[in-house]
Amino acid sequence: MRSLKKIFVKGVLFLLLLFCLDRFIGSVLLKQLYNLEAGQAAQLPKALRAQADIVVLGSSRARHHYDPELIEKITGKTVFNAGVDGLYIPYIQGAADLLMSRYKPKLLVIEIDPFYFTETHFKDNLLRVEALAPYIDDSDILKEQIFDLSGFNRMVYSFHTIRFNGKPWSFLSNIIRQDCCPNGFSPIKKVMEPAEWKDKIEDKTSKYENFVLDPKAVEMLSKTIQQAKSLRVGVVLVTSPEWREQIEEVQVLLSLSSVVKTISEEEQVPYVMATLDQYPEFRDPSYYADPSHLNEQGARRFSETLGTILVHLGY
Amino acid sequence: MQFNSIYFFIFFITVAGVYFLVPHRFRWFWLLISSYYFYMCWNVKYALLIATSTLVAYFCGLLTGKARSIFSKRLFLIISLVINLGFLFVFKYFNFFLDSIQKCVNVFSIQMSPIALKLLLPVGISFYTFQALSYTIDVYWGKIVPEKHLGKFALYVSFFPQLVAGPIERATHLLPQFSTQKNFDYDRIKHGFFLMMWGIFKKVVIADNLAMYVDSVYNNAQHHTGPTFLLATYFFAFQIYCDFSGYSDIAIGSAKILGYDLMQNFRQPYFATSTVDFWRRWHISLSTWLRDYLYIPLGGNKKSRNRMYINLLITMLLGGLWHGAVWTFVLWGAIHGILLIVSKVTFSWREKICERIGVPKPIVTILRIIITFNLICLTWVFFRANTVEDAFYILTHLTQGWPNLYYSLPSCFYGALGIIVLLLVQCVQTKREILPLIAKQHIVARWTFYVIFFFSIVMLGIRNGAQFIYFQF
Repeated sequence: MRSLKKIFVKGVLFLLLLFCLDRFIGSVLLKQLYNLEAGQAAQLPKALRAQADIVVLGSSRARHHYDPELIEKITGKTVFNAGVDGLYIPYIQGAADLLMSRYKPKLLVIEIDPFYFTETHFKDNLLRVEALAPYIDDSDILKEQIFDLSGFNRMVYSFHTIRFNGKPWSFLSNIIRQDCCPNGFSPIKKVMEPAEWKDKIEDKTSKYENFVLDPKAVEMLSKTIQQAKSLRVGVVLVTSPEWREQIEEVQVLLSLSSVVKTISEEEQVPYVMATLDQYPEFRDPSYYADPSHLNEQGARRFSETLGTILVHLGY
Repeated sequence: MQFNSIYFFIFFITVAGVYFLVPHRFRWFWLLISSYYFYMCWNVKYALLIATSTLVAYFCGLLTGKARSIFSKRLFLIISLVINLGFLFVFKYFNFFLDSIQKCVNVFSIQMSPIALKLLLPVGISFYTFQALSYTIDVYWGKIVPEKHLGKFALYVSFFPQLVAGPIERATHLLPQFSTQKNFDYDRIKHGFFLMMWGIFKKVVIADNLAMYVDSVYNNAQHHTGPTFLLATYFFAFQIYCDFSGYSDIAIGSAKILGYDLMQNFRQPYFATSTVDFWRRWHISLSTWLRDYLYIPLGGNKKSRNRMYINLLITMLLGGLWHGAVWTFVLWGAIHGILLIVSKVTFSWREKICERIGVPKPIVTILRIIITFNLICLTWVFFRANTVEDAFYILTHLTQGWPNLYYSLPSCFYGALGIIVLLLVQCVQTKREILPLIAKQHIVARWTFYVIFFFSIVMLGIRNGAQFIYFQF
C-alpha cells in the first residue's frame, strides 16, 4: 500500500513537472520557430514575416523553380517563394490558411504537379503535413488536417513539445548555417545527364500507369482557392516544365492535368500549364537538374516567362 | 500493435492496472487473454496457429512425461517437433525451398512450373515455435516436469511482452513464475519503467533515425560509393542493435513491471573481444538455445576437433536460416560460422603473438574490440543487403569513390548523437549497473536526467517509424 501511494504521489508530481516544462519549452520553441532564418523550416516563418504581394506555394518544384527577384522585376510587386521540399497539397492548404490569417497577399501562385492528385502520391505523403504541427494553434485548417490523420493525434498534439518532433536540427542549423535564400528561392546548380535517368523514369511511370484520383486532394485545393477568393486574394495555378514529360507516358500526365484544369475552370482561376509543346525551349536538358526539377538556368528562364504571364493576367 | 506506439501504451497501462487489481489466482487468465488480444491485433486468424502450437507442445509434453518406454517418449517428441517445425516450414521456408529447387532444376534446362503459397508470415513464429520446442525437448530430457495447467502453459508460449520477438524463454525459467504471487513493488516498477523508456529511446531515437540513412543507401546500392557504404554499414550495426535490444528492453521492462523476470538478451555486444565472445553477448536467448538444442546434441566439442568445427558451421548456418528464408541470411550465418572456427583455430597463436610482442593488455583488448566490431560489421552487409548481389556489390565497392560521402541531415545527426549516448551508457555498464547509479543521485539530478531523457524521446524520436526488424523473423 505504501508502495502504491509512493508511486502515485511521485508519478503525479513528475507528470506535473513534465506538463509545466512541456508548455514552457513549447512556447519558447514556437517563438524561435517564427524567428527562424535558415533552412527549410524557415520558409513559412519567413513568408509570414515578408508579407509579400505575391506568394509562391508548393513543394520542391516551387522552391527551386520560382525566382522572386525576376518575377518582382517584371510585375513590380514583392514576391516570396514559400515552397518546401517534399510537402504537397496539404501543405499548400495549411500554409495558405496561415498566411491569409496574418495578412491578405494580392496573389497566391500555387505550383501543382498533376501527380499530386493520384491516390498513391497523396496517401504516401499525407503524414508529412505533421511537419507543420507547431502551427496548429494558429490554423484551424492545419489542426483539422493533422487531427484527421489519426484518432490519437488530438491527444498527442495536446503536448506542445511533440509538435516540434524532429525540429531540433532546424534550430541548430539556424545557428550554424547562413541563410542561403532570403526570398525563399533555392536554385539548383546541377545540370542533368539525361542518360542517367532513363531507367528510373520508367519505374515511376509504371507506378502511376493505372492511377486513381484522390478526391480529398481535389477537395483540399478547391477549398484553398475558395478561401482565397472569399478574402479577395487572387490565385493562379501553375505547372512548371518537367523534362520527364518527354520520356514518360504523356497520356497519364495529360489526364491528370485535366483534373487541375477542371478545378481551375470550376473555381474560375487561371491555370498555367507549361507543357513542352507550348514552351518548346524547355525541351533542352541543360535547363534541368533532374527530370522533375529545373536548375538555376531553367528556373530563371521559367520565372521570366511566368512574370510575363502574370502581367498579362493583370497582376 | 507496435511496442513504440501509443496503442501499446494504452494497452499496457490497462493490462497492468487490471493485473494488480485482480486476485493472484486469476492473473494468469487475465494475462493470457491480454496476450492473445495483443497477437490478434496483428492477425486474428493466426492466433489459431499459436493455440495449435501450444496444444501440441502441451499434450506431447504430458504424454512424454507419462510414457514409460523410450520409444513412446521419442514418438511424442517427434510428433511435437514435426508439427511445430512443420508450421514453421510451411509458413516461412516452403516458398524459399521450392524457389531454390526450381532454380537448381532450371540449371539443367528442365522446366518446372512455379508454385508458391500465398501465406502471410505469422509475426514471431520463429520465437514462439522455438519456445514451445524447448519445452518439449526439456520434458523429453527430464529437465522439467510436464506442466499440467494448460492455461499457464498457454501463457508461457504466448506471454505478450516476449511473444513476437523474444527473448526466447525457457520453461524452467518462466513457467514457475506464473505460479508465484507478485506484489506491487515500487522499485521493481520504477526499474521496469526505466528499462521500457531506455528501450524506446534506443528504438525511436537511435535505430529509426539511423534507419532512414541506412535504407536510403542499401535500397539504392548501385548509386552509392565506398565511404557511403562504410558509414551505412557502421550505422546499420547500431541500428540493428538498438532496434532489437530496444525491443528486448521494452519486453523485459514491461514483464518486470508485472513482476516477471525475463532473461537478458544483450550484454554490450560491440565490446566483444572475439566473435566467440560476440555470440555470448548478442541475442543471448537464441545463441544459448542453438547451443543447448542443436550444437550440443550434434556432439558439441566433445568429439573430434574437426567435428566441432562442422557442428559450429551447421549451427550457425541454421541460425542464419532461422532469421529468414533468404540466401543473405544463410550467408550471414555461414560467415559467422567460419569466423567462429577461425577464432577458435587461431586463438592460441594470437595469444602467443601478443605475448611475444609484449603489447600491454589494455591495448590488446582495445585492438581486439575494434577488429571484432569490424568483422561483425562485415557480416552485417549480408544481413542488411536486399540481395546477395547487392551484398557483393557493396563489398567490392568499399574502396571506390573516395572521398565522396553521401549523408542526410538531420537523421544522421540525431542517429550519431544517439550512438554517442549509447556508447557512454555502455561504457558505464561495463563497470556497474546504470539504474542503481542513477538512483543514488540527488532527486534534482535524477529528475533532471529523467526530464532530459523524456524530452529527447519526444523531440528526437521518429514518430510513425518502421516496425521492429526482428518482428519479421
